[in-house]
Amino acid sequence: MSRGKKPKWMIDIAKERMNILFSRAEKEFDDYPERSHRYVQIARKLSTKYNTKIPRNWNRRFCKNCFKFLSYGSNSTVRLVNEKVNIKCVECGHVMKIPYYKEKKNRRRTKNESIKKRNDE
Amino acid sequence: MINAKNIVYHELIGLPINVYKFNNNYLNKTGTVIDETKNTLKVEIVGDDGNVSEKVFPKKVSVFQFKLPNEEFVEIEGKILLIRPEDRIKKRYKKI
Repeated sequence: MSRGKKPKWMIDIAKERMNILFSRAEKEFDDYPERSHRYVQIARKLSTKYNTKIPRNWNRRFCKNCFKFLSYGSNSTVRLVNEKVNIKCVECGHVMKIPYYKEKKNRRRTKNESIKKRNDE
Repeated sequence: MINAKNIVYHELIGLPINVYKFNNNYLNKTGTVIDETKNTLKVEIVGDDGNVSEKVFPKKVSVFQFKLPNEEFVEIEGKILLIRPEDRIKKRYKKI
């Protein structure tokens, strides 16, 4: 197989497999946490091999430093600090900081447009 | 979705399994797949008295029966699956 972009059917199967692995990891975390860390490892290997992003709803559910599965409330905490989402991994102490200024901008824009519409009428 | 045609490329973790043959002997052990490596499959087996155990089966000498989500059964020889799980998508098989 040549390097570079892979055919579409391969990428679709890889996305489905990553979804299956992460949902399985969430289900098994309470009883067997080592299994869910292993599933994250396999999903990351799939994503690097086929040049695809990890699905958006699962992208914040693992630590970017030690690559362990994060379950909010049991081995990680979520706080809003300085207009950023701070996700702290309790296992290694790493903090991921994700800004949310785009969402704020969009909300402000829609609000202003609705006020303008009302004034025009 | 997983079906009988693309199961060789798809994810095996989480599927119900029956280890049908092992070393040319019949051995019917049912459970679910937990982990996969290049040469082995790890299966969680619930016994009659409720005890939970994990067993490792080599792919080279066994025949597996998988139960798909649409309640179909597929029988696969372990020799076909002798490859790392993330490389299974891009391998070319002669006849499926």
